[in-house]
Amino acid sequence: MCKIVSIHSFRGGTGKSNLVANVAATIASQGKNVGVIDTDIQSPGIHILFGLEEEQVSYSLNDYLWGNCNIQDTACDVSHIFPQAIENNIYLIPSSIKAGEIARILREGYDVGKLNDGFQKLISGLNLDYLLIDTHPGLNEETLLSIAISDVLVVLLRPDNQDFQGTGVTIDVARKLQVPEMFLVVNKVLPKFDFDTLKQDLETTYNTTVAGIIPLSPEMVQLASSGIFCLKYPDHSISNTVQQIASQILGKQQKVLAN
Amino acid sequence: MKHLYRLLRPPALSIAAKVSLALLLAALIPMGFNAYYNLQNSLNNAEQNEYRKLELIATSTASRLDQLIIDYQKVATQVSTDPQILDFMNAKAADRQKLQSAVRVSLKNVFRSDENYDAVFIIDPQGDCLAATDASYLNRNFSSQEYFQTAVQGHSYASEILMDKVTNRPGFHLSEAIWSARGEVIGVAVLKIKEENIDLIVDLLELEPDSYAFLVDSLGVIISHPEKDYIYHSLTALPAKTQSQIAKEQRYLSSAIASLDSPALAEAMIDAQEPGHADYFSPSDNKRQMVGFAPLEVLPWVLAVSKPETAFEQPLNGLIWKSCLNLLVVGAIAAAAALVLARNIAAPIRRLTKAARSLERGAFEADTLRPISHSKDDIGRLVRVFMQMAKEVEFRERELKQEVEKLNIEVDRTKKARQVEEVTGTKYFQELQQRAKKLRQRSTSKEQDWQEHFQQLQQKAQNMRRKVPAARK
Repeated sequence: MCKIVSIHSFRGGTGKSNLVANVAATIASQGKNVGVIDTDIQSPGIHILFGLEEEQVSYSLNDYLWGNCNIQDTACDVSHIFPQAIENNIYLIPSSIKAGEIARILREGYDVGKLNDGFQKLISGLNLDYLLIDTHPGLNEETLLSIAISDVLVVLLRPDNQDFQGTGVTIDVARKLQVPEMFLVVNKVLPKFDFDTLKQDLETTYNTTVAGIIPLSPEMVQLASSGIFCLKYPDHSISNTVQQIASQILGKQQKVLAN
Repeated sequence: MKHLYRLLRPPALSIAAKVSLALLLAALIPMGFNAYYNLQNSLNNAEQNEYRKLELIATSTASRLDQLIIDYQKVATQVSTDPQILDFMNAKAADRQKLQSAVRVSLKNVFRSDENYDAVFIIDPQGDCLAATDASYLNRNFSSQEYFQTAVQGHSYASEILMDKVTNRPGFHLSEAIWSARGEVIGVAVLKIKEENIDLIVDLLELEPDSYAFLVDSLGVIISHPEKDYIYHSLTALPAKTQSQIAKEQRYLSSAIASLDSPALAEAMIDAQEPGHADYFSPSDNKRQMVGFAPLEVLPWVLAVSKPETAFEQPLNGLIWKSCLNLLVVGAIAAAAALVLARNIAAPIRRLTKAARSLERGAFEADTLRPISHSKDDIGRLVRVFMQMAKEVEFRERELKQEVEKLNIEVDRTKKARQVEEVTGTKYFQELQQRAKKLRQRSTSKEQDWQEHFQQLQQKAQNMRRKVPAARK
């Protein structure tokens, strides 16, 4: 049975796409069929991390939403990101990065309900174990839908007041939608802070488990959006943190299997 | 105030305005020059066409007059070859008395054939009038008249307008030699035509409204004009010698010929050998008149057709107005296109300026620039560089902030409750909540079924493990 995981942040620029790509790569490397869908249609970016160029994308999520193709046609096999061949696949469903198509979706909107149908067809069509949704920041209709159908919601935030406030709103809304599992991940935290204290404070404030705190790293900044950090620096402390986050996402199902 | 300042100082104009202006000028300046050049050419062509039209009318009217005079000349020839008249002229002086009545009948017959004839008479080689339709010509001597002197030499002759001293009526004379059987000139036949006849022809010409024709003789004196006041006025002042000659001959009704003072017109028209055109200012209303003229073949006269410049310029004004309208329409289209293009070019720059202000306030959102960061042109590159710069600025700022501040997690609960209410209070959210609830229930029951199924399998496996050792035993 597939697990739908939404990775969300209240504001843009938190490093959401980076976290999605790294978590997806980590889960796929553990032998799972993983799908990554970029629902941040207004400002897509995750395809860069998977090394996809505009020319390599035949159909995008936009094409499916406009009824130009089936959702399976939009899935790009991006298993090439792994240095060695792996048994299972990782797929990316990118949003269009063509300026004209972005402008059109902003102007015309789309049928949000169709997005849900697409998720379900994708899961069954590609036989996915995990579907990771890279959401659009804020709480618009498609983001709410992504949260509503998720089994796990990972809320990403930076350590600043706007994000603290927005995360509070997101958590409350997600509770009203009865999301079974929620985690917090804090990104871009200066290394000099006490991570344990911060984790404790956040868990107390939001009554939610903090799955990981990712420090602001020169390597991460340098890599920017040109690749997947965990695969490039597998032994880095950040890669370990991503491993922990992935383990917690996998956790419940693994526990069931362990029984 | 800021807008006014920008308008007064072009360097301070917005990029959209500058680009619009540049595109507009790039379109309008060459088009304006081109339109001006074309308009000038068209105006010149139209003017030449109008002149040509006037010349053609003048030429055709002059031909008509020529034909009329030739016809009169033929009548004079007919008189000179009339058998009765030949007999009369060949007879001795004593015998002529008997033939006088027959000759008079012949002359009367010719005279009555056209009401434009003023007189028909016969002159002997000495210049004495022997027979005439008007008795007052009889026994008068015409040897000093040019029409007699030329005809007696054996040549046909047509005079200009002359004041007839016998009748005191103006007219022009056509004379023809009367030849004996031996080929000697034995007399001259003269046909005098009334001057009004020429006037009538000129006046009856069918011309455009405001246009009229007039006739000028070899001295530049107007001998026919619709405005009777101008008749026997010269185009330019006549020399004193000519004036005195005219007075002596009493050639025109008046002894002194007044000038209309149009030397340019006089120069173009007097003794003109070819059709041509000129312009002058009308003495009556001082309006500019355009003139096309053509010389007659048989007399040294020039016929002119005149048209006021105002009527002449009507089609030209239409052409100017049409050209201006075209320029305006194309200019308006070019302005609209330039505006749209300039706005498109300037839109990313405005967005970048807004983003820079946001960055200044610390409220920059990279997503606002992402849609315009994909373009491959200079603006796209600038946007990408700006986004990278913003990222680094944000990083440094955050680092600096966190160095001096202790991280303090604060959530404004009232604000949060309001924000949550804004999201959850919508109809969409309510429906979504219901759908999510059903979805969770379904997946929970599926998961339970699956767990029960898994546990049953585990149970079976354990039972089998227990059974296998028992069987071995």
